[in-house]
Amino acid sequence: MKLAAAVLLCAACALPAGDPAGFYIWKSAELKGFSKTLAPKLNDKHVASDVIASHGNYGFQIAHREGSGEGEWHEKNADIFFVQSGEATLVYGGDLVDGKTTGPGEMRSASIKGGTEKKIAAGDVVTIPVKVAHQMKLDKGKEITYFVVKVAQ
Amino acid sequence: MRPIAIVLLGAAFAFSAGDPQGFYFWTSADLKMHTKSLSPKMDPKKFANQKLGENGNHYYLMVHREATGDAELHETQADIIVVQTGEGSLVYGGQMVDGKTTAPNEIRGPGITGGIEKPLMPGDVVEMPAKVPHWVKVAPGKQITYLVVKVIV
Repeated sequence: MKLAAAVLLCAACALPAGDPAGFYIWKSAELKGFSKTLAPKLNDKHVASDVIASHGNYGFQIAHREGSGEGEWHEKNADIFFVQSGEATLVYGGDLVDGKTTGPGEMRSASIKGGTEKKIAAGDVVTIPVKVAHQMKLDKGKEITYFVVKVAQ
Repeated sequence: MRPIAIVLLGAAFAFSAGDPQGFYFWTSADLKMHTKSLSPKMDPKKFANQKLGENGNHYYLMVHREATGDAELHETQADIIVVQTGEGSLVYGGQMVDGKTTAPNEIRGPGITGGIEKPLMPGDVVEMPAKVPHWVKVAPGKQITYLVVKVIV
């Protein structure tokens, strides 16, 4: 029996490795679950995020916020947001106020002036082109959790 | 009155600088609405699609199916699929059966052998790398509607 088990184990090892490189499937429930699993990991800016995959010129992150974030500006990455749960006000366009470079091609600020505001909620999709300032503002007691596709341009 | 109306119209154009190029905002309801709006536009394979927008190296396509479609392979594009409504199953990997080049870098066939099959439900997200055969199957009487971010890799 032990030998048979060992043979079966080896056979299992030799079988095809499964998914093609770069293939991922995330079930809806799995994505919505990040709202709870990221909550204990919030930083002092009320945000927690995880890079969940990357492949070539694009990648995937999950972000969870329980307070307003910073103004953000990406020189080389377009962001596509798929809201999983909660709600927020997205500010986009306009200019970062006193923006600081925080990394290559990345700027942050406390706020944005001259932007447009839109309420966003679960199921909504927003696409932010490169070099467009954006910020998530949250009302007290609210949360937002969203899946982000980052496309390098 | 007429000159005033014309002036007002002109002013409206001048002031509504509008959203930055490549910025899109679709509410959950906007996206789900395509389930109904695309249904009358289906081809004989019970497939319809509509381009929703574009931004440099990626664009956004809404797809509606009421029957199993062709297997597909994109040589130079990754598909990020976000299911909006309905249900189906996704076969991926393996080998395309009787694949034919239907356009530059695009191969289609009637099916896939040796692939992996997984169910697709609303809210699920799939990352399909370039060059991986994939095939959306829809059971009789069912439909599936999904947003695809097509990234040129």
